[in-house]
Amino acid sequence: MKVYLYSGQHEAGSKFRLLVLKQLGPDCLKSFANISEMLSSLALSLKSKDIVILFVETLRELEELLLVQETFDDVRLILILPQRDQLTVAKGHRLRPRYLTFIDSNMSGVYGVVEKMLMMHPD
Amino acid sequence: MDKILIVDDDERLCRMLTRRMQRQGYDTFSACTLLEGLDKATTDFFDVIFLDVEMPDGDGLEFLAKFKKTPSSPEVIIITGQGDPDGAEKAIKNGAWGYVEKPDIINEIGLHLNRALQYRREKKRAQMVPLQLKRQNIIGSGREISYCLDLLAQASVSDISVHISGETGTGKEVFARAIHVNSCQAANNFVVVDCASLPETLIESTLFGHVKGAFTGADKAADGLVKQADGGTLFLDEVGELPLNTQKSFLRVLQERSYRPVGATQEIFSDFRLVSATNQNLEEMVKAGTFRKDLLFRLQAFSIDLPPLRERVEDIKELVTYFMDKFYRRYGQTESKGLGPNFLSTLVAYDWPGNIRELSQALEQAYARAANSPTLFSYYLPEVIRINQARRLVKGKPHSGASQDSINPTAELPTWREYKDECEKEYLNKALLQAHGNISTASNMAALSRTRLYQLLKKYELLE
Repeated sequence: MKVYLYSGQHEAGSKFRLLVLKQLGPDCLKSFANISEMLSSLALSLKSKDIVILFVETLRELEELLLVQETFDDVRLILILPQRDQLTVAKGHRLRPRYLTFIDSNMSGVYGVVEKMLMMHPD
Repeated sequence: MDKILIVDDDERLCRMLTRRMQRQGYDTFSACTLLEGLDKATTDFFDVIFLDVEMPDGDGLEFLAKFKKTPSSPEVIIITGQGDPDGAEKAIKNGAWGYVEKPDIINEIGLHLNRALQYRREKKRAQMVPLQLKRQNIIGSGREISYCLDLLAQASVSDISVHISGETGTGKEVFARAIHVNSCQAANNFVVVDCASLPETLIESTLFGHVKGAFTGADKAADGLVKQADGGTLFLDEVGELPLNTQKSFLRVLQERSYRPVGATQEIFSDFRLVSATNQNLEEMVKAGTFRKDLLFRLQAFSIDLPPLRERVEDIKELVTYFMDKFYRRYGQTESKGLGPNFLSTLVAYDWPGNIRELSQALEQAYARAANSPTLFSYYLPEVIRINQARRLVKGKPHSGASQDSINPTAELPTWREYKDECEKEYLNKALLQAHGNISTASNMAALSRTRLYQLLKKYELLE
């Protein structure tokens, strides 16, 4: 079971990546700072039920991810959105996340969900 | 205007009923013999036919199926002058809408007619949808999946709560999504609640939201998923994992359509359509006290039980084509791969405990292993599938499933579908016999959900 993290190239994303790395350790985490790099890697390695965390800092990134939403069809997606407005949330739900939260939220929820997902499918 | 036909040899009764129904605005006709009635029903388009049993040219019950098969597939209400329980049973078994005795029909005809017409209108409305159904990656055209697609179409036209059951990997989320896409909620959010992944401490605030300061870490107020699903669909995946106290809160939301965010004093309204799914036996969970009976009742207003892949092997070829096309695009290849000579038969012979998800993974593994080869040989498939095929070939008979002794070796071999249907029917008969007709006992013995057992009994016309 792998955890893939897209955290973008902004400061908040980098901080989040370090925190996730500290939480999960480097063995089961693979992180990306840009979308096309992530997509070409996922195309070859993504397995059903893998966990993908998308830390989305801008609406433009969200739009880009929506164009390739088929990639996330059979994975467990955790989505962190940049804004709480209805339009952004509606776009976020089009990716069918198993957990959705926001950049300005307490991230303990994300860790709790990842931990429970890993417990359910530990391999 | 609804069209009614009365087939009765009592001319006075025919005239009286015709006048009465014409006064109520129905286009009403009558016939005094079965043949005359059948002729009218074949050349005209009737919604409801009142059919007498004792007719000069035969038994009305014997003609019931013929009337049902006329072009308008009318609803047939049997009328008779004398009570006959066996006749009533025969009428219902042959698809009659109802059965009334003549002394009552004068007073009750309006009630029977209204109910039959209401049923007919709803049936027509539901039948209109499959023509426009968006399948949303639901692949296959076999009987099992077609039946589920019919249910999906029926579910989509209303906003009834739908519960989807089925083994892991059978496509429950794909079906849930398809219900949403085909429903009048399609323009709004499809919100997934993964009940299995949410830690117990997070569930209530994730579902219902919270106000600022409601608990440690609640720095800001937040909407819950129930609010985000307002006007759309809320999909409770792995609903059996919902903790008991959350089940209670959620039941209230379903009853009232309003709820209180964590720490809030005000109620919030949300109008969502509910779809739930699980691979657990919720009825057993109710018995064990881990799932609320009243919530189960609410969830299962409409049920769809998805068949495992081993029960729809006729769809494997279509599924393989679909996944091969997907991988071809994903791997950015210039030419699609062909299939080796026994590739499909190897797949068909396997039991697929992980269902479509396992098939997809096996194909992807084969695709990746055959990177430089233009052909997918079964050699590229996962070892467990190849071993199964090898054992099967060495034994020279199927490794599981139906026993060989019911096939006559000199007779022409039936198709796989015919043979499978025959065995399934035989099994169901045995299960019912051993369970003395008790559905719960039979479903436990067969390790099938009650819903699935009912579907199979209906399919083989074994329901009493």
